[in-house]
Amino acid sequence: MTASDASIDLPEPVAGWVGQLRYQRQSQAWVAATNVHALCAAVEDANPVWWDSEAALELLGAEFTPPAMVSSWTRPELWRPDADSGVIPLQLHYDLKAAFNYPTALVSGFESVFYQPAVIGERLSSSQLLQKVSAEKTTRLGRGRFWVIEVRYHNQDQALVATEQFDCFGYRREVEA
Amino acid sequence: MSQAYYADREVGDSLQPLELAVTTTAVVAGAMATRDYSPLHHDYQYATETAGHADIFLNTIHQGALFQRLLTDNLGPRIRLGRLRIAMKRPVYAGSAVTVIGVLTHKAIDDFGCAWLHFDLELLVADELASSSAVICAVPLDLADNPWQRRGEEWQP
Repeated sequence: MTASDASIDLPEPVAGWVGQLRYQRQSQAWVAATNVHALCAAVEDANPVWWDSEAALELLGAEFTPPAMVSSWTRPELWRPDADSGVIPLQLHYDLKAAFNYPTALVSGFESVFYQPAVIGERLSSSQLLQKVSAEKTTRLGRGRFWVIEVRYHNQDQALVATEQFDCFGYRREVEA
Repeated sequence: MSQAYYADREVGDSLQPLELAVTTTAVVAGAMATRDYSPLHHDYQYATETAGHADIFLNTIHQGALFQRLLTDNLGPRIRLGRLRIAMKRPVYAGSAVTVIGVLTHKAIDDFGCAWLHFDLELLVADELASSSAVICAVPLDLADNPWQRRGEEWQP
């Protein structure tokens, strides 16, 4: 599956989205210790560098956050008084789900590459890139398309924090077809 | 929590497995902690009736946190993730008892003195593979080496 595969006849506007960097925006949220604690609690992770700022400073040199949490820091609030709902993480994923009129779309796999780690109190920005979309295929879940989205994260100094590449599948259950 | 160094681990070493009960509350807590408001991770009716699942299930960051815990439990608090790939074979539903295992597949020191360990990890539910992960992480070479302070060309995951 490649974006340049001539056998895949993608409809507009999807064809125009491939290879375009979209949804570049600074997050509304700050990198926060409370979220780190809550996730560590959910998996019962006792690593002191995630719980104790003094331990983090002594062992790591700063209050870094778990690298795999990076996408948490750019997700919008459910509601804001200024009615700015922000950019939904993987907005492109939902754009594709809507464009193809699939009732369901899920992430089947992802790869993250971590660069400069996010620190408590920072504010990140993100952007999204649609890399490729497949032709329609039938799987055990239903009939739909695979797509790949890359999300890039930067800190307030424009240093690259991480990239995440998501393998996604949007589909319609066969009984609904 | 003790710290392992590069020389302490050899290719083929297995990690001490992690076992954990995934409750409904934990699924929702993980989703909220990571600011993931998809109904697949908190709305039973949506997950089952609309999406065709057996229950709500762990989001991807939550699974990443389980893999990260396996590594730090075994290797110590100063390891630093460089690259993480997760392939989800089947959802990890609320009510599951999970086991996370791993084996060291490769180790190397790069041109800038960064010590890398490569692991293949698996998240099992009732002995069946739910997710697999390939992880590359840096470990200290010795007490003076701190992978978290590496920047620029000294950090090439």
